[in-house]
Parts: sequence; C-alpha cells; structure tokens
Amino acid sequence: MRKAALMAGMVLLLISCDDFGDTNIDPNNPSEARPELLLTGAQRSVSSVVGAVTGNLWVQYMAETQYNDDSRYANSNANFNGWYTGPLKNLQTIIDLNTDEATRGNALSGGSNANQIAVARILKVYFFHMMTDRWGYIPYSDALQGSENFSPQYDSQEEIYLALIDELKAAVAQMDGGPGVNGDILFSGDMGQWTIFANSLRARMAIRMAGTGQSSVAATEFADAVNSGVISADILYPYVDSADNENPWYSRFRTRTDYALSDVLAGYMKDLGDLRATKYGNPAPDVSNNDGITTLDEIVGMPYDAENPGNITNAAISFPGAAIGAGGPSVGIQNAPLPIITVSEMHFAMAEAVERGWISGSAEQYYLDAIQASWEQWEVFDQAAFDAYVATEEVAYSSANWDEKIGKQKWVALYPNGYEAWAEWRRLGYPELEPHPQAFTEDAQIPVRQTYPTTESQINEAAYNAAVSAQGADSPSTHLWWDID
Amino acid sequence: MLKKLLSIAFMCLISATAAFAQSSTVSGTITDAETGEPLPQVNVFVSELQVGDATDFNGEYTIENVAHGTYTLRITSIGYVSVEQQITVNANNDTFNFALQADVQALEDVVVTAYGLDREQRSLGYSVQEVSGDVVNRVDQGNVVGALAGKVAGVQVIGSAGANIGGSERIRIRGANGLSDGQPLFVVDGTPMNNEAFMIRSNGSTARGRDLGNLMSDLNLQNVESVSVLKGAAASALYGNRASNGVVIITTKRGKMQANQPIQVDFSNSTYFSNVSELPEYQNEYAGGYTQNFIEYTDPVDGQTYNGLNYAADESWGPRMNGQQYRAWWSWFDADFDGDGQSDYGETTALNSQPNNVEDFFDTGVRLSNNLGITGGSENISYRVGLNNVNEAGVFPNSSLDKTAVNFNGALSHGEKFTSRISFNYVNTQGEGRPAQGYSPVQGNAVQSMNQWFQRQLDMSKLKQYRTDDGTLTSWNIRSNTNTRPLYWDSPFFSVNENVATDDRDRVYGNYSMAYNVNSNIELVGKIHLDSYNFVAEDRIATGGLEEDWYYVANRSRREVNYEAGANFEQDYEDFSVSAYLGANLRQERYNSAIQQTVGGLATPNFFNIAASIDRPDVSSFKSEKDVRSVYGTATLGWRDIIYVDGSLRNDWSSTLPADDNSYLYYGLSTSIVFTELNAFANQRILSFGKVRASVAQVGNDIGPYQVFQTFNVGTPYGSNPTLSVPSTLNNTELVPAVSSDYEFGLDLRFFDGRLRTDVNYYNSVREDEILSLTVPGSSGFSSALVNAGKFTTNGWELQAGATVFQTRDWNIDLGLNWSTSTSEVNELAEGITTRQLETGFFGVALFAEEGREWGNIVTTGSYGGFRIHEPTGKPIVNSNGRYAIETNKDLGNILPDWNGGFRADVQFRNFSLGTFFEFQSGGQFYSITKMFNAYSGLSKETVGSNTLGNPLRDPVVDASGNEQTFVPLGDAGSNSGGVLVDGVDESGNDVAYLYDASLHFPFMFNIKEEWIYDASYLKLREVKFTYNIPASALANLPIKRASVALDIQNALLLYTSVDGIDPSAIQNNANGFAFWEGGGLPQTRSVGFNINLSF
Repeated sequence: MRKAALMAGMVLLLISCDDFGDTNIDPNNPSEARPELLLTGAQRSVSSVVGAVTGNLWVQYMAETQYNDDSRYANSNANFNGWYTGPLKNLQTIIDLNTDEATRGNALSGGSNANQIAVARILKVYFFHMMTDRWGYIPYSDALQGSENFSPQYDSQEEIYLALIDELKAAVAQMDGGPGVNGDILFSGDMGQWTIFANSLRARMAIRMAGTGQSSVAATEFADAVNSGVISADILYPYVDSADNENPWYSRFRTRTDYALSDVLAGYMKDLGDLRATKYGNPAPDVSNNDGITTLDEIVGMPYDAENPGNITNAAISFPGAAIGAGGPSVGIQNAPLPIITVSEMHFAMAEAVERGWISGSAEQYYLDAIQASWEQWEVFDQAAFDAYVATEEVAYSSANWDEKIGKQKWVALYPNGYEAWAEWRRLGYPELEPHPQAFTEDAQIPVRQTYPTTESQINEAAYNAAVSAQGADSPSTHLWWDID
Repeated sequence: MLKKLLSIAFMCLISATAAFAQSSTVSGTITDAETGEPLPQVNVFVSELQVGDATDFNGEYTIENVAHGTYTLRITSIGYVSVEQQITVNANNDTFNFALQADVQALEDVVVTAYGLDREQRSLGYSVQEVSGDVVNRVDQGNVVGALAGKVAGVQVIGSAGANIGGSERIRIRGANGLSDGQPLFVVDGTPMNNEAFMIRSNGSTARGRDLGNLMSDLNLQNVESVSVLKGAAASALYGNRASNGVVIITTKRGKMQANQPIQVDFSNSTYFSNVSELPEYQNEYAGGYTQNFIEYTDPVDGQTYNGLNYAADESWGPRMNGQQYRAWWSWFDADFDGDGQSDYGETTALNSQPNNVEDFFDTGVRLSNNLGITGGSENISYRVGLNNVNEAGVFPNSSLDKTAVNFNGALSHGEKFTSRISFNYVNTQGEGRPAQGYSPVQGNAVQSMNQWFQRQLDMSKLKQYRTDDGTLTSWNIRSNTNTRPLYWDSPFFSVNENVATDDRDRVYGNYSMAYNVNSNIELVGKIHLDSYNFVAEDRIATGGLEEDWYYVANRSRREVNYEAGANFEQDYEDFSVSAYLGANLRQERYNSAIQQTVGGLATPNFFNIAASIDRPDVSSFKSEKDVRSVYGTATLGWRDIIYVDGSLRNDWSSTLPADDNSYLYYGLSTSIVFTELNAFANQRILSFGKVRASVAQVGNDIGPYQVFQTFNVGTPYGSNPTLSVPSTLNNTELVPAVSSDYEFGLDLRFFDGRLRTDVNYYNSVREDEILSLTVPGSSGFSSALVNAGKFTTNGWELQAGATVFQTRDWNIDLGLNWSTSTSEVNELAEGITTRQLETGFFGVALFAEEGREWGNIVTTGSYGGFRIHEPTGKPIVNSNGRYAIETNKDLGNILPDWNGGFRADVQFRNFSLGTFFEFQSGGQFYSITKMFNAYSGLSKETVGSNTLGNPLRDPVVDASGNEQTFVPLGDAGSNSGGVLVDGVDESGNDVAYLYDASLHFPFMFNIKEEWIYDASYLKLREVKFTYNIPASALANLPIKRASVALDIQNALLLYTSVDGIDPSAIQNNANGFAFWEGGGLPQTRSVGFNINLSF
C-alpha cells in the first residue's frame, strides 16, 4: 500500500514537472514602469553633470588640498557607460512607452504622450551634448538599442551636433496642448519652460560650433533659438535638505576637505575687486575675523601648482563657498542649488553672436548684462562695486579682442559648472591657463578631451578602432571637432 | 600531572614485580595465513608490560624477561587483521606463533558518495577523496573550508586572515569553476547546506565592509566523522545542477544500532591563544608629515611658538626621529592622556620611534572550545548527542565570536522492516565587533589606517584615550593645532570600541528518513531534508566621529527543503553484483530579506534604531522562491570484484529557467577495473592493489530566480517623488540550461601491503553555453546582458601519495602528500566579445577572463598601468622626467596557482605522537594595496635605507652644484644626494638612471600597478600537533576509558613567501570576491592551543 502511494506520488510529480506557475515572477521589482517615475530618476542625473568635480580642477577653479592627482591630469580616462545605462536608457524608455501602441495608453499617467516624448528628447540632448563635449565621437545613432545592437558605432561629433539640434527643434515642435509632464523636478511640468530650456541649449550648442565648418548652420540656429525665446531666469538644479538628494559639494565636505578655491581664480577675481569671490569661496580661518561678513581679504586661494600641497594647512586657505554647498557641516548649505544654464551664459553667447554677425545689437551691452546677471545670480550685486569692476582695464569690453574678454569673463561666470567652463576654455582659449608643472599627460598639457572607457577597446573593438582612426588617438591631447586653435 | 605520576608509579610496580618473579624469554614466528610466508616488521606487544618487539625478516620476534603470568599479546601489521590474544607464560610455555589474515577491508576503504550511498572505493570509476574527521580536526578549526586546505588533491582554499574573526573562506575544486568560479555544494548527512557568504557593505561596495563569514562555518567540526570531496561531474551527477562545481559531503558521528552498546561520553576542551604573526615591515626613522621639517605652531594660550608635526598628514615623510622635543598631537587637547590626573595641554615630548605601535594595537586572542558527545545504542536504537560551545575573543580589539551547537543523530528500528533516522542540528552564532575591511569603509578601518595612512611615531597608549573626560573625541589626525576636528582618521580605538557591529544567526538543519525493507534486495526510502537560517546583522557608527552617525540592520532568512523518495536495489549473482538506486526529489528554496539603514544621521545621539533616522531611511526588502524537481537513477554492475560499471541519469526541471526550456537531462558513466585481482598478479608481493578507472559525465545548470523577465528597479526617491530605472542588466527570456561535460582517468596503486600508496588522476572538464551576465558596451543602454555563451575548459592532474616509512613496535612514521595542478582556459566568450571583466579592485586594477587565455588575469584599467618595457632590451623605459613610462591596459599575470597541495608527516612513538601538516602553493598573482600605500605614505621599510650612492634615500636630491632638485640624472648627482634610483632605458634603448626624491617617487609608483603585484607562492607549516595518549594502565583506577592531552599550533610558520608581511594564503577579505587583491585586510595570526580529550 505504501509502495503504491509512493509510486503514485512520484508519478504525480513527473506529470506536472515543467509547470511552475508564477514562481519566477519577480515580486521585488515592478514589471511595468510608470514613465513619470523614470523621468524623476533621469532628472536626478543632471546633478552629476552640474555637480561634477573634474572640470573644476582642469579650468583651475579649484585646487586639491592634498591628493592632487586629478589636478595633474593623472586620470583623464572617464567612463561614459553610466550615462547610457542610467538617464539615457530611462529617457529612451519613456519615449518607447509613449510610442508603442500597447503601452501609450497606460503611459498617460506621466502627461500627454507627445509632451513626455518631447521632454525626454530634450533631456537626452542635454546629456548627449555634455558627453560629446567630453569624449568627442561617441555612439549616438546606434545607441540605446539593447540586444538589437551590442556593437554600437561611434558618430562624429559633427553628426551628433547636427542631430541634437534637430532633436531640440523637433521636440519643441511636437509639444501639444495636452497635460504637461509629471514627476518633473526641474520645471514642474511647465512645457513653456521646457521650450525655453530647449532653445537655450540650442543656443549653447550653436555657439560651440561657431568655429567649425558648420558655422552657417550655427548662425542660423543661434538666431532662431534666440528669436524663439531663451531663458530670462537661471535654471538651477534644486537640491533638498535630505542626505539622499543633497548638494554633492555638501556631501564631499561632510568628512573630507579635498578641494579648495584655486589661487588662479581667486587671485584673478580679488585683483579686480570681483565680489563674487566672496561667494565662490569661504573665508580662510587664519585671516578671517569671523564677523559673518566675508570680504575679499578673507578669501585666500590655494596654490594650484603647489608641489607639496599637504604642507599648506586647511586654516590658511579658502574652501569652495557655502553658496555652492561646500565647506563642511554647519558651513555648507545642504540644498544649495547648482546652475544648469544661466542668464549670464546666454548673454555672453549673445555678445559673441553679435561679434560674429549672427544677431544684431550691442556686444558690449550683452557682455555687461552677462556680468551683471552673474553678480545677481550670486547675490553680490552692488552698483558701485560693479561699476568699478567693469571699469577696470582687464574687464572693460573691447570689441577688438572680444574672444579674450568674453573668454575670461565667461570663465569667471561659469563657476562651478566645471565641464561647461572646460568646454568654453578649450573653444575660446581664454584665460591662458598654465598646465600643472607636474602634469601626468604625455604632452604635459591640460587635457582637451577625456579618453574612452577601457572596456570599449575590448568589447566594442571595431567601433572603437573606427572612431579612433577618424578622430585621432584616444588621448587627452586630441582636439575635438569644435576645438579650433 | 597526577595521572602521569600514577602511570609512572604503576610501571615501576610492574618492573619491580618482574624483577623478583621467575621469567622467560617469549618468542615466536609470525606468518601470512594464506601463503604461510614469514612476515617481517610485525609488531608484537605485551600490553600489560608495555614491552614488545618487531619481527625480523624471518618473521621471528623475541621478548626477554617476561615474568610468568597471563598477558594480552597484541600483534599488529599494516594490511593484516590485528590479533589480540591471551597468553600464559611459564617455563614450558614461551613460544607463540601466529598466522595473520590479510585485511581486505584495509584496501577496500568505504567512502561516502552521492546521496550518502556508502561505496567500496574499489568500485568507483571516479575520484573521491575522503578525509577523516581526525585529520580535518587535527587542529581545532572554526570553518570546514579552512580545515580542508591542503588535505585534498585538487582543492585550493583561500583563507581568511586570523584577525578576521570567523571570516569567509573560499574553496576552489579543480581550478576555476566556470567563468564565475562557482563554489561547491556542501552536503551534511544528505542535507544540502547553504554556504553563502554575507557582508555588511560599506558605501554600497561589495569590496569593503564587514565580512560575516561563509555560512558553512556553522558546522560543528567536532561532530564530523569524515569529509568526502567529490570533484568531478561523474561523482556528482546525482546532486544535480549545484554539483557542477564539486560536492563536499560531510558525515557526522553517530551511534551504532547493536545490542548492549555501552554509553560512551566524550569530552574535549581546547584553549587557544593567538597573536598577530604577519605585519608589514615598517620604517622607524621618520615621523609623520609630508616633508622633513617641523611645522611651527603658535600656541593661542601662551602665545609661544612650538615645533610640531603636520598632524593633518596621514603619511610618514616627516622629520627624522632623534628625540627632539616637540608638541605631539595630544598636547593640543586640554585633557589627560598619561593618567596623572593633569591636563597634558602644552606639554612637549621627545620625538622617538614606536617600532611596536601597530603590534601593540592588537590583543592576544583567546578561544575556548568545549565539546561533549554522548553515544549509545541498543538492538533497536542508536543515538548520539553532541554539544559544542566555542567562545573566541579575537586579536582584533573588541571582536568576539560565540558559537553554540546542539545536535542529535538517532536511528530507530520499528520492527523488522522499518527504520527511521533523524538528524537534528541547531547552531547559534553570534559575532560582535567584526572588523571593517577594504578601502575606507565608513565604519572605519583601523588596520587600513595603520598599514596605509599613518604616522610612525604614534604612541598607541595615547591613541587609546580617544575621548577626553568631557566626552570630546580626540584623534592624532587633527586639522591644525587650533582645529582638533580629525581630517581623515578618527582614533583607531574610537571605531573599534564604538562603531560596533553585531550579528546573530540561528541555524536549524537536519533530516528525517524512513527506510522500508521490502525484501533482502529492495529497500524503499523517503527523506525530508531541511536547512534554514535566520540571520540578523546590525552595524553602527557612533555619534561624533568623522562620519555621520548611522545604524544598519539586515534581516535575512532562508529555508531549503528537499523531499526525496527512492528505492535501493541490490542483488549478488554468482559472478555479478548489481546495485541500483532510483529516486525523485523536490527542492524548495525560499529567501527573504529586509535591509534598512538610517539616512542623514541619528536624531538622538547614539540611539541606534531605524526610527532615529533624520531623513527617510533607506529600506529594501527582497524575497525569492525557487523550485527544482528532479528524477534520477544510478546503477552499478560488478563482475567478480574486478570490473565495475556505473551509470547514472538525471533530469531536472527548474523554475528559474524560461517555461518552455526548463528541463534538462544529463548522465554519468564510469568504470573501474581492479587488475590486481587478475591471475597475472597473483604471485607477487610488490603490488598489493591496483585499479584503473575512467568516467565521463555531464551536469546541467540553471540560474538564480528572476533573471528571465524584464523588470524595473526602484530607485532613490526625490522628496515625495518616487523613481524607477531600467536595470543595467538585460534579462533574457531565451535562456537555456548550461551544460558541463567531464571526463577523467585515474590509477590507484598500493605497494607492499599498502605501505606505499599512490593515486593519480587526470581530468578534463568543458563547460558550454554557460549562463553569463556578459559585459556589453554601455552605449547599448545596458552594462551587461544575460546570455548563454562561452566555452571553458579546465584540466589537470591530481596526485595523492602516502607511505608508512618506518614502523616498529614503538615507532610509526607515516607520510602523506596531496598535489595537483590545473589550467582553466577560456576558449570562447560570446560572439564579438573576447574579454570579460570578473571583478574590479581598487585603484585601476581589474580581473578579466580573456578568450584563448587562462581564466583570471589581472589587468590595469584607466590611466594606471605597468612598466612600459623596451622590447629589445627587456628593460623598463624611463622618461626624461625621471619617471617610469606607463603602459596602460597591461596584463599583470594570472591569479590561479600553477600547483598546490599539502604534505603531512605523522610520527608516533609509543604514547606520543607528533603530527605536522604543511601546505604549499606555487604561482598565482595578487595585487597588494597594503604594500602599495605602505610605501606611498612612507610607512614601509623600503622607503628608508641607503641609495646607490650610499646616502639616505630620504635625503634631498641634489645636483653636482649642491642645488636641491626633484630629480637628477644619476651622473649629475651630487655625491651627498639622496633619492631613489630610477633606472631603465630611454625610448631608444640607451641606459638611463635618475635619482628621484623619495617622498615623490613612492607616491608616483602608485600609478605603476605592476610594482604591487606579488607572487602568491608559499610554503607554510600550517598545523603542528603534539599529543600524549595517557596509557590505559594509568587510568585503570579512574572512571576514564581514554584520555589524551595535546599541544598544537595553527599557522606555525610561514616558511616561504615572496612578499613580506602578508600571508598569501589568507587574502580573502570580503565575502564574495575572487581574492585577487589584498588591502585594508587583517593580519594573519598564529595560535597555540592546549587540548584535553577524555572518554568515559
């Protein structure tokens, strides 16, 4: 009897052997995505652009207080994979969910299909633009296709620029009057602001292309972008008083003091009476009178080229300012916002556009507006001090050397958006920065691009080789398409 | 002591009696019962008199001066059944001849194979190596994995440093087990056991944090009867997919079901003292700082200027220590550091070296282990109850481990036909203060600081005063004389005493089985196996230190139940024997975890609770289910005890594979031929036993749960906005089961009645279509994709040898050797992909598998590299800036050893025995972050001494005109120049040499990873044990049957290593890594133990 029961049990077991029902359905993670949650996630990555360190060191905004390898360009290699697998993939998924017949109905929780696609496209452009300005050729048209393409080809920077500009225009054009996007931590679903942001990005890209063979496209696009409306208020990344969404400079100074305001920037500003320096840096303890009001005297830059930086005590120098979040607990502002794109930058771009004959107007006025917008952005505007500042020979505008004037003042104004400042420094060639005397780069110069992630030469070999042979050696010294000397 | 005295007294008494009584000389001849030939080297021993002799070549023995009386004569010889016989010696009766029966059993060891089937070794067509509990336990070990090191051919163990109390240990059977180097399956009394290794991660990284150990460390080794290691697919086909990496089968002690079994009580106690045995060699000439000058500080209290060090520096390039008066870090705190009740503020002190400061940080570890076993049985019942407690205080301050185990093994016969067996085990493991490891974990890594970022003049006794009377934290690494907030490091004693992790695990495992004898040939069995644990780990960062205060708690529970039903069949015919087993198994795995941690600090200082989280706490819960259903069968056919053929077949259905492809069938086939049974070998006495074996087999493999369907990850919310993201791994609905195929050949030879034994094995294993998480270009939108891909071949040789080299009445010397070599080659990866990154180490070093190469190459990444070599001269290129040229993406060697093994020498003299066990490995590279930063920060001995000009390395580099330089060409250097010699060739191959400032040279070498790659070869005296068995005679008046005392040493001596201060056999410093790097890990320890074993 028992034997029979056992046999029967075994037979039963065999019959249903291959059917496990829902056992392998993951209860821990949702199988379906709500697009507005993907959007918030992707927008959080903007913080990693505007709060990045490396550019700030390379344009000598900041110096390292002890371990100065990055200031010496020891690691010009950077990994772009995270941008693709992070925000770009999430944005692409928003586009897919709002495009696919099967999912676009459910996707309406995130706003109208067209508006969601438009916003995702604009943000994709924002990230791709930052990437191509760092690495040059990158996978673009073949990218984000998952298992359809595990060997994406690289596109030239020229092709990427032209495609991104088209994307911005198409995104604006496709916005409909339907509900704005949800989960939007930048503009709270205000599609008008997205339009202005897209136009401003287009103006930024057009200016970057100015010296290339595509200068006529640049001229047209810039004028069109300005006519369509660019920003009149700074766009800032909004941080929160909470550890998981706090300002990255605040995080960096929680326990360490790795960065200080560089004497290259601080010295330049102090000599000219630039009050922004009192926001860019915190008072150096050794010289501060601790009265809570920072004066230029209390700002002491850290020598960028110090051979033994560790011998300079923390008390003798200025850390980056509380206004950008830095300085340490009880000093830094945990939710200090960081600039994504500013009115000041737009005015500088318009000043340059006038000089290039792209738009009409007074280059000098745009230049002065740009500087004033920056002083206002940092809440240090004082008419008398400003007037004195712009009257100095160094600052006073001169159309004859507009590139130097704009280059230097843009450099001052873009702080602490290091990557954008690095791009503009490379393009305009001003200010004339001295490379670190102990540079690690083969040519002992400041890097003019970042090199590709190590894995690319191994797991995407053919595409990598094609990109390198078209662009030039995968080295930090290879100039990008728009970086015309 | 008392017993020893008693035994001496007793022996004296006997001799005295002998001297006065009449006596005779006892003699005789010992022969082989079958052949009648005389047997040499047979021990003949009179137990009562403790005298004896060994037979000569004529088989004769002589024992003089035997007082007339009745004695027990014991005759023993290897390969023969021992004889004990009562003899009465008198004037007429003094010759005693014996004929010994060959001990067939001795040559036919029974080993435990799959599903607990006892098999005669002669019938096995594949290699199974069994290690007895005595050998596993020779030295009391905490972890079954570590206890196997060197004891099984083909097994490599990467241990955990002794200071890492209860740390994870990793095992490799037959080289790398596939691309992901899987771990073998552990089975205890038929129950598959979980051997995952968990850690408390720090900064989200798997490579830093606290190592909570591998779960097989729950096993109470004192209860182990034997361990069998099934290495190949043929041996393990019956265990299914998890056996593809080998199976370690553990059998625990049990009672005997036999009438009138006496109750036996075994008690043992061991006490171990351990101390740190390996530390890097430090320099003791220069103090902390970045340059050799003192820094002048103005004291705000008295306004005076004092010499001080650069306290903010966590390196030791500072002033030479010559006893100069200076202000030490503690002189800037208004607190008492020397215990005289006075504030030490403002005191100056002499700058002197502290050569033992790091050693002083560690304690003497003490481990107490008590073990009780009660065994008994009757006609219908057998039982064994085991109790075990291990309490260990580690060498790392404030670390402890407490383990309590209860186990019960019993059998009941219900009448003629039914038998029940039950095995129940409960183990509780509690850890406290497990050290944080890896590079800069937030909890603080004291050893990392002392070995990588430190000041050599620091006095540990001052660091111990890490809080002043008013509770203010102190640290040596203050920012300045007026800002005493630490810069990089809290006092090591702060993190050790206040950032304390605790963990507590309950483990219950065991099984119930019922067997029904249908008739003498057929037996039906039903079994339930359970393995479950409930594991809580907590971690804390105390308020006020460098890092934000924090609390973490992880709850994990897992249960695996296996339901098994089967039938055994056995039948012997005239020339043939048949045995078969048919079974079915249902396996259910259930896992749950909830991991929570505070964010943004604790609302109430040092209140460690999730509720104290200032910001929204980080919470993640996870659960998983997996079912596997299987049917299988095995059959063995034997012919005349000469030829055996063995076949097995199994089909699995796994819930984790796509529904339309979740079934996989695989097989094993093996044969064994005992050729010495053939007539041709009948009339020789050299080769006593010889067997050839061959096998071929396959094992199928599946994956973990939830890797088929696409899902989304829940991300960090932004305020009230939740977020989602697309996972970076692309799941795959098209996966199919992976298959590995093995074949192996072996030869087992025993000579001179087993006094010389060898067993050689060759194997080859091919894995195809492994289910891999393959790294793909990130620009696809995914960083990895699950695919079936690749081909991976492992092959190698294994050798076991043993010899009883010397054997007399008093002496026995026995040697054993295990040796193996293997290569694990990656034949192909996926289409278009030739490299796979296996793990990243810190600072630009990663482990890769490359197509066409051996698995496990260390390659530099990013801008880091190795020396760029000038091909024609083979010398490193030195740039004109005095720096070595860097070659990026440089392959720095393979982590797998060329060969490894163990060697055992056991000497027995009367009641004394000395066992020694050596372990060795040749080849295999590893990356040492400890050595790298030890030099970078000027702590290591290599950063001092003389340079090629005979001047101190650290003296300034000067040119011929006496001007200080960063570097000079050697030819232009002043005769008094310091600096490190950097020599090589220029791009054209001309020899060049420079002297480079030491404080800049060593930090630069951080970029040249090749400098910090070391050969992991070692030879180690791992275990020494000296035992004295108290003679039965001494115990005659005590209620003790047997007693022994022993002294043993673990990690006695590291006899050879290519790297100073690091034990390459113990570099596993996190739960799941491949052990290719070391750094921020803990030092090795040496333990001395005293053992007492008593049987009642």
